[in-house]
Amino acid sequence: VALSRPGGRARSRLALLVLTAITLLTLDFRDFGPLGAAQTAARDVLAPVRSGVMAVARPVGDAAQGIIDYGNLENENARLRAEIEALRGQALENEIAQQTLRQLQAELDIVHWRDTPRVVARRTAGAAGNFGKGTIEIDKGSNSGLKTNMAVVTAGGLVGKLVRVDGSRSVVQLITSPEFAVGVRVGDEVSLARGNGAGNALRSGEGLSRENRVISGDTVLTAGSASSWFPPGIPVGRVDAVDRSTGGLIVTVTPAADVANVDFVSVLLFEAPGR
Amino acid sequence: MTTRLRLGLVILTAFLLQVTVFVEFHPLGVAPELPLLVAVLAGRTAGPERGAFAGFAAGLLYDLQLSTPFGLWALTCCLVAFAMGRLTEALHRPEGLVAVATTALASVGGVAFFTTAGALLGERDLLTTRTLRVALLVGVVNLALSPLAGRAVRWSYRPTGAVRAAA
Repeated sequence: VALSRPGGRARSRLALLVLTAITLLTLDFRDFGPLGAAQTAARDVLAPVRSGVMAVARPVGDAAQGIIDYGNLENENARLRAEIEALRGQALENEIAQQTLRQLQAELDIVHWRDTPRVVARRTAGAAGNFGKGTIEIDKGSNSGLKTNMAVVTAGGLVGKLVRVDGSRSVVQLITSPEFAVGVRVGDEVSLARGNGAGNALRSGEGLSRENRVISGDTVLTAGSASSWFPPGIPVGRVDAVDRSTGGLIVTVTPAADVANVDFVSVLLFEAPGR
Repeated sequence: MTTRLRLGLVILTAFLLQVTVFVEFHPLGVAPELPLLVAVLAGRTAGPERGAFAGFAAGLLYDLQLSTPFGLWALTCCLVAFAMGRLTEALHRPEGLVAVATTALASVGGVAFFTTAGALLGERDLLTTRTLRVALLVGVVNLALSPLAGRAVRWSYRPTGAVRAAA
């Protein structure tokens, strides 16, 4: 009996810890407000410490990764140089198209998403650990007027939306995350595109008919319905594959923005008119 | 410095390394899971009861930073630390290869438990074809970091001057 006592005490204390963890999980699933507020406050307290450590540690981590990936980095640089050359050629053409677009918008009194007020933010970190669910962290938060669900873009197009906003930091759910969904215009129809979790594509099928004349290479833009968190017309990506074999239509979209390598992003201070 | 303060420092350092250095630096293509490693080593060093408390604290701090369900890492780390403590007692404080193997296996088991429990809670994307590979590689990376982390955890549980004098 004397020997079993310490073991019994250890088990009862473990049970207490397990019950505490299960209670926290339950409260989290029920979106218990005070728990969320406590988490936000704790993260805000830790944010300056993390920033300080990151300022010192990041170059070390980058250098170590650079050494491991040296061969890949050289190939990546060569690919990027070729890409810059191609983009230079397109830039002038785009400028003329932009001017024409602005004139037409002014005449028709249409507000373009690029004219939406925005806050520029820097990516501070990718997701910690191995199960980040397609998120990145940025260095602006509610102190800069950001709110959850606001659209996050780069010059390339839609990157994601804010899923967590603390005082000075926010977490962006990337469009490739399996939990991400956005209303898009595919051909003449409006559909819902979802991230597929593979990190490089979205899939859309809901609301699309077989008769839709979309083809590979077509541009996919946000639909921007009255209740959408995203203004209309933001480039989401290009159609990569069209599958009509299922009886309906499934479209795979490659994101327009380089989601895996964003450094600076803009958060659109846009709130859905219908919400 | 008291044991709690030293342990708190070790847990905070592991957390900060996890959410700064190892966000960008992924040896073998995965990040280590340092809070889990601290839990494993605390269980081995301090036994099931004290290890479980340390694991819970390390997991809870990690939970704060992640978008996975809040409390899942705390649950995982306290259970793994407890199991590791019990295993260490059962094997009469193993050294050498057995100690190395149990550390790696506990890390793999911890990741497997975390992803499976997460999937059961509705986080289906935690359990994918990639999960097994990640779990195995986390075991390897955690094992590589365990000599350094083990030294830090042993330091945190080292008896204070007063206790040593009394002994």
